[in-house]
Amino acid sequence: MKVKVVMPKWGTGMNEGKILRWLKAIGDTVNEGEPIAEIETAKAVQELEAPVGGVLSEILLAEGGEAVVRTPIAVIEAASP
Amino acid sequence: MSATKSITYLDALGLAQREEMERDASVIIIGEDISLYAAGGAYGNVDSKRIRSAPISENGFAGMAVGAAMTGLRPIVDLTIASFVYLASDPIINQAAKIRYMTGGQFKVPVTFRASMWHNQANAAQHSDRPYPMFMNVPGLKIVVPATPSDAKGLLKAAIRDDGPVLVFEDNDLWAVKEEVSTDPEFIIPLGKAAVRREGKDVTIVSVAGCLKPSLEAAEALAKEGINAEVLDLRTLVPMDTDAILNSLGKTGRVVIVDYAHRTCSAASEIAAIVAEEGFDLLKKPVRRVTTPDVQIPFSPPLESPLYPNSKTIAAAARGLM
Amino acid sequence: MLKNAIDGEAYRRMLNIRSFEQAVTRLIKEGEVAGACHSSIGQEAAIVGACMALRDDDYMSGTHRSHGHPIGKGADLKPLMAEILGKATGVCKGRGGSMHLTDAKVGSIGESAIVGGGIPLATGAALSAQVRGTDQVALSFFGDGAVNEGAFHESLNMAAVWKLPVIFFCENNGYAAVTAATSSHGQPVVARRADGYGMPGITVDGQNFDAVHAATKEAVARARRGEGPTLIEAKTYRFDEHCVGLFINGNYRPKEEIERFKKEGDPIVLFKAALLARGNTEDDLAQIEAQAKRAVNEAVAFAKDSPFPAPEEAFDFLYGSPVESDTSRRAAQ
Repeated sequence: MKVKVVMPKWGTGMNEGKILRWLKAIGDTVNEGEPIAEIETAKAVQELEAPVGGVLSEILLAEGGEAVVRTPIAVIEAASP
Repeated sequence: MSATKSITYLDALGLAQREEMERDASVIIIGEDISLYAAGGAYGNVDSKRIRSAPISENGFAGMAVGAAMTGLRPIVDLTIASFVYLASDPIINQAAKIRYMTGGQFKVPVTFRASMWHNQANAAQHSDRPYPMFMNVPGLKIVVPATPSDAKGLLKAAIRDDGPVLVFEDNDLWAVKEEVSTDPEFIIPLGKAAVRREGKDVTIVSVAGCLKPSLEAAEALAKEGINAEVLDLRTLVPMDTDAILNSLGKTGRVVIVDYAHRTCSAASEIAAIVAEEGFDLLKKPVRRVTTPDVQIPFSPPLESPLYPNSKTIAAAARGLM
Repeated sequence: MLKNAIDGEAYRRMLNIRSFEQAVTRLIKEGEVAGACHSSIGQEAAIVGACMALRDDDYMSGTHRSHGHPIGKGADLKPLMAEILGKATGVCKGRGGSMHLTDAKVGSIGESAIVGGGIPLATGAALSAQVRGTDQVALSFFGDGAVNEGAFHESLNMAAVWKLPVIFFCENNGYAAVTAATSSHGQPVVARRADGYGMPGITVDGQNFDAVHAATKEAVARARRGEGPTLIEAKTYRFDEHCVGLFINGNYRPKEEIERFKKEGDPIVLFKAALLARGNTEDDLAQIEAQAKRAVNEAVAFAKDSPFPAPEEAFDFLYGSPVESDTSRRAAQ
């Protein structure tokens, strides 16, 4: 089952974020809660955790890319529904 | 023809409350120092549970009135002097005005907040406010500003019967004004309807609240000069009778708006904007506002009195449009 | 079926809250939720223990941390989930959202995002019951932050003066957003503020359903008898951040404190142990656990399948009594 990973909204004041670094590559297996990217916001740099376990099947926003919160930035093919 | 009685503006307010409390057992009154008036029969022959003389806790009891209005009562909140209304701002704005909307219509909030505006009586800045402009910007609130004893009675009754939050701002310097007022307990003045107090064809004077007296005096003076002024008493600020304003403008082509509130973002400012946007083609001259300037109200009478609109400044404004 | 119907219903509601909040957290991570959500995970016993001491026609007001309260008082989950997603089928028709989940059918009179804003509302509902002569009571949920708002003090005073049938229920989780109660309370025991207003004040273990339920039942009985208000302080703990996904620079709560509560102070784990000790079986409990998961999954599906409200409907519910025309005010351009 494909699960979207979106640019997170870490607090009411955050409106966009930038991918500094992908910590996982396409095809990697990830566990729920495992850090998969470093994201920079106006206030800080924080690690984004995988919302589900599975295989990282698509990366939609490259390193250095910026997006508004809640925009899809990756897809994980989840292990189970 | 219905029966009338000559009563004062203040008596008319009291009579309105008494009639509504006797008519509907869900009407209650909350305010400070009201136990004294209750003892004198001010609220009629009603169960004392419905008369709540509260401690000095405007924020608290205004919020309580909203909760009571949501659960089967129809409270009147007497906030005494308009400058104290600010203490109740949060429950008025964040609760009373918004609850029906935010809950998708699950509640009605039939609460009436009333306060008396004092001005030009050497009460200094903290007792001389006219808060209605700020509350006009809050969707969900209705606001009435009666300028005659009849209107005081009819509008307060309508406000109490309205199923939403209504603010009633009363002019304290009208308390002693007397007029024949209907004794019919069903006499209501509908919210949202202005009244032409004097017909004319040369210039429209839109009067907000207690500005009616100096506006009519100005019209008298202008008449002697051959200028025929129409005086429109707004009566309700929200919902505003914009049709009445534009109809009058259609007749005269000139408008002077009179408001005792401070100039910036006064009720007069909103009326001016509506006239400019919707009545531009009817205007022969620019819109004129006659308001109190943006300065704190001073204590000393020679400082305070000249600040307010009066019949001379209103007449001068109208004359300037001819 | 559990040996005691109240136990069964309590366990069901607590699990409903837990599963509901977990589902909402997932939906936020999937980008389905606009705005902020404030989770009640960890506070289930305090909420349900209090709610279940009330009748359906008793009133309840709450806070921006609103999800648990209507669930605790028995509201249907589907319209709550739909409201969080902003759908037309939401309990507030999409006009309130997560911070204002209000179901009048179960006696809620609103969840206020103004801290302390619901306290006068519940006090007013109690006033209404007193004036109308019914034996309804009102319960006001608020956190440790709200006890510093003027509205708290004014409401408690008037409730005491007029002996109003209201229960002031503090979900004290020790922190108001990121500020510890210890650094903002002159009186560290919330329940002792009651002394200043002439009403009873008691502290209970908010992670213990039975303790909360018993204390609230007693306060409700007092109120119904006309003996006036009570202040209950339930010491509880918020497992999640102040709002879901909030990034805080630095630790305002010691990590070991959070871990300790999760391990030893989980109200659902504690209640389950109590239920087993009372002679209920793992199977009985498993049935209820499965029920809760199912109900929440159905709520999520319902919410996702529901339509958004139409923009033309934005002016519905503006006034209690309709007005003839206010086109000037409605004009946006």
